[in-house]
Amino acid sequence: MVFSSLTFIFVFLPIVLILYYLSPKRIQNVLILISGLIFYAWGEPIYVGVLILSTLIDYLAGIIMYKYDNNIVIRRIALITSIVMNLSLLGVFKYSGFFIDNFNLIFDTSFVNPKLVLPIGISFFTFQSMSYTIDLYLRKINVQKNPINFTAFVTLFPQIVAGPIVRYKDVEKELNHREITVDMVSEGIFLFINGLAKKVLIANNIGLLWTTVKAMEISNISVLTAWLGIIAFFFQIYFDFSGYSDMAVGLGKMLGFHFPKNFNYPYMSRSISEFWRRWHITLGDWFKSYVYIPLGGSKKGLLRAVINLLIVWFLSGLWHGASWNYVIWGLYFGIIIIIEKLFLGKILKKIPGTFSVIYTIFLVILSWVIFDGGTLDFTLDFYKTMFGASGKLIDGTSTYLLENYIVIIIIAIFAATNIFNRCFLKVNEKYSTVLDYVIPFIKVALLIVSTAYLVNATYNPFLYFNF
Amino acid sequence: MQSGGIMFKSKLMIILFGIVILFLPIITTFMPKKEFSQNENRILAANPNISISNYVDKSFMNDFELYISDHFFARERWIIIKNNIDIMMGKTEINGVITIDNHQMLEAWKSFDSIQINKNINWINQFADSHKNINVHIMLAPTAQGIFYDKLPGRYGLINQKEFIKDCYSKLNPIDSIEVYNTLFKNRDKYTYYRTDHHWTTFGAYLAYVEFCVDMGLTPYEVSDFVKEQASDNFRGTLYSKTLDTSIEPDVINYYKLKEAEPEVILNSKGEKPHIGLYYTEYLKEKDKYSSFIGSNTGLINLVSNINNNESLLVIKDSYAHSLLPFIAKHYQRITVLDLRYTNRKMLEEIDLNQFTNTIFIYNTMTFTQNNGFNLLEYIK
Repeated sequence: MVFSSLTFIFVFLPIVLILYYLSPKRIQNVLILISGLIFYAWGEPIYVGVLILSTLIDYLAGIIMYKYDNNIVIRRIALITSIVMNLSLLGVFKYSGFFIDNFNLIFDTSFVNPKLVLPIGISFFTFQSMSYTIDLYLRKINVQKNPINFTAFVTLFPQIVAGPIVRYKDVEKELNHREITVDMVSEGIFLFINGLAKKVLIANNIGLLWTTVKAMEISNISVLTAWLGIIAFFFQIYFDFSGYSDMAVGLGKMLGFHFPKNFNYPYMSRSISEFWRRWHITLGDWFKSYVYIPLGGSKKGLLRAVINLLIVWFLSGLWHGASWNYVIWGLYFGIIIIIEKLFLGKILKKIPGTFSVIYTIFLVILSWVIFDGGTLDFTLDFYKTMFGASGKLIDGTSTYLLENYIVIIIIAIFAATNIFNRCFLKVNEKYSTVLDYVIPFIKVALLIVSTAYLVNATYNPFLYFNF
Repeated sequence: MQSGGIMFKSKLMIILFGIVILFLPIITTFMPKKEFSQNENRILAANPNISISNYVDKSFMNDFELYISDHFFARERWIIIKNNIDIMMGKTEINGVITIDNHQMLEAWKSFDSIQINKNINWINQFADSHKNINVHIMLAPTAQGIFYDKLPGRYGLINQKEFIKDCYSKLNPIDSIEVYNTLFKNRDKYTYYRTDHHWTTFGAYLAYVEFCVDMGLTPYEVSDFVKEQASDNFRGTLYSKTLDTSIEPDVINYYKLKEAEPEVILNSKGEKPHIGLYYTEYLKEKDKYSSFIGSNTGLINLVSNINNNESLLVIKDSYAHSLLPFIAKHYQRITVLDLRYTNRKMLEEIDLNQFTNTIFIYNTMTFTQNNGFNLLEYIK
């Protein structure tokens, strides 16, 4: 099931929330478990079994670690079993095809690619599950003996499909005991509506611009058209993914959970290093905690730090998709970050903020061509087009596209900065009572308009679903 | 004071949100369900069935979501909201429809399948070649967008229909082509195309009829020879369905009947009772009022009139011909009307081409580039 759908907003959510708020606290986790399974099975009627299997193994690994608390060997075996099982599931379903194709290419064999279908959200729930066993092994958290509570953690519908990557330690306390206040529910609703509007009103609409440009004959694309196209994707992927994360965090709040923030105005960053502290924050944190630091981080000398960074960025890229363009995309950032750490970062801090932001945005825009271009050929051709290969700077098509999309582009630019927030805070100083009346109605208006677009929906894919 | 304020805002937000996500589904559940959407021209989703196999192949989930979407309360109102917002955001066309001068809708035509159009032209040429004793004619009618082409910016990427027709005519040899673009262009401010539908008006069809007569050596009736009978003043057609824009005045449909000697006509289609008269007036009560001309698209109609001149005509057509046929029918005793999209080989083999002195293809430009079944022409002997 998808958050941005009529079925979710007007059938699943009202039913679940009503049952949830009316239930005694001991029943609430059962409700989360059941609703999570229904939510997941709605999109994966068969692969919901993979989810249940993964949950069972990690739960048992936890119990074994608890029961053999003094036996380091058994604890280690339990941990390794959990990691191997999770990574195997991920590896088989997501990467087997990629691995086989490349093996065949290198060794001239012809093994058959089973072309397995990817269970939705597998990249997210395996990482979440592993965080439990790893942190339990490191004694950063306590065991979860209650199988219902543990399963509820894994199947929690707000974040099961597309994050944020919620580590067990983020919700350990709230899993066992939550206080749900009126303010919290209201904040959750705010966030949910914001996220919905980001996705349905901005991302889906501006995405049409990129789709149009991608479908054009590449040698015919003028410079302006090419830039309009990739800038459209630049905004689409941000509003799509951050919108979905907002909805997830908002839904979590409605249920009494505080999930970690996943995006923090990344397009306001002044360096690529900063960008990755503001974009998909939970993924960066996961890789830092469970790969970079265990490898030694930057504590074993410069050369080792560089190698560790390259490993982390190789894996981060690969996590995004079973294809070389994602790996290249990851390494692209890894290399820039290394350069920034070596000397560029200091320079960026000294020059005026505007220039560093332009530097960052320029590099990020270029990176999206690699990310969504698919093939190396397309990426290189598109780069050439962006810098004039067709010989035309502007043409009728680019004017037409500009005419149709300039308003949404301007809205996107403002919405990608914290300008609305700052305005609100300023106005709130003097007119807080008025705002108290007005803001909820504005939010409902956004909800109504989003609903109108959903009723119309034909184009509503969530880009990060293939993870 | 502060905490009271925050609490109030929170309570208000919860109440408003609760109202929206409860009110809409409850009303949707209890409202009677429509079965057919006039505007979308399709049957709306039926109640989803749940079973093991429906669960496994996800058809239950898909049917459920489709059902919610199809029967969502005030479904068309939401579409109007969305379209209005799109217009505010600067969109130049809504679902492929451009509105000019606030009162004329045009269907934007930007591309066509060039392989298909070449095949179509070849099949028609082959047909003419294999029947050299028959006079074959063709009339390609522009759509409204073709007539108002100069009023739209070049950057919209629209097809120049005047050039397109010229190009097609030059490739269709040795077929006699009938030029109607110029007369429709000259008279474009005289309501030659419907405001809310992709067809030409009866007056537009009349102008094409005049060109037809000139080409065939017939004397056309003058406008003053006709009585204009208003069939409807409330017609909202196919383009309206795409935009649901009610700010555009609905269209008027006129039937042109001769003041003197309006012929009596009987329409025969296979498997149906003969229909007396050219007009199926029952359609005037529904949304699809244009179908009152000659009826809905069927494969083969035999039109017989009480004009005793022994003249006969074979018409191979799309729906543009429907409002043109009442005019042509004033000059022929027998007209066979074929829509190749709805015929099969057997039906076509029963046609004896020798009983017709003339054959004419009547198509609008957009439909002409599609797969119209011209490959079946070879079965007409």
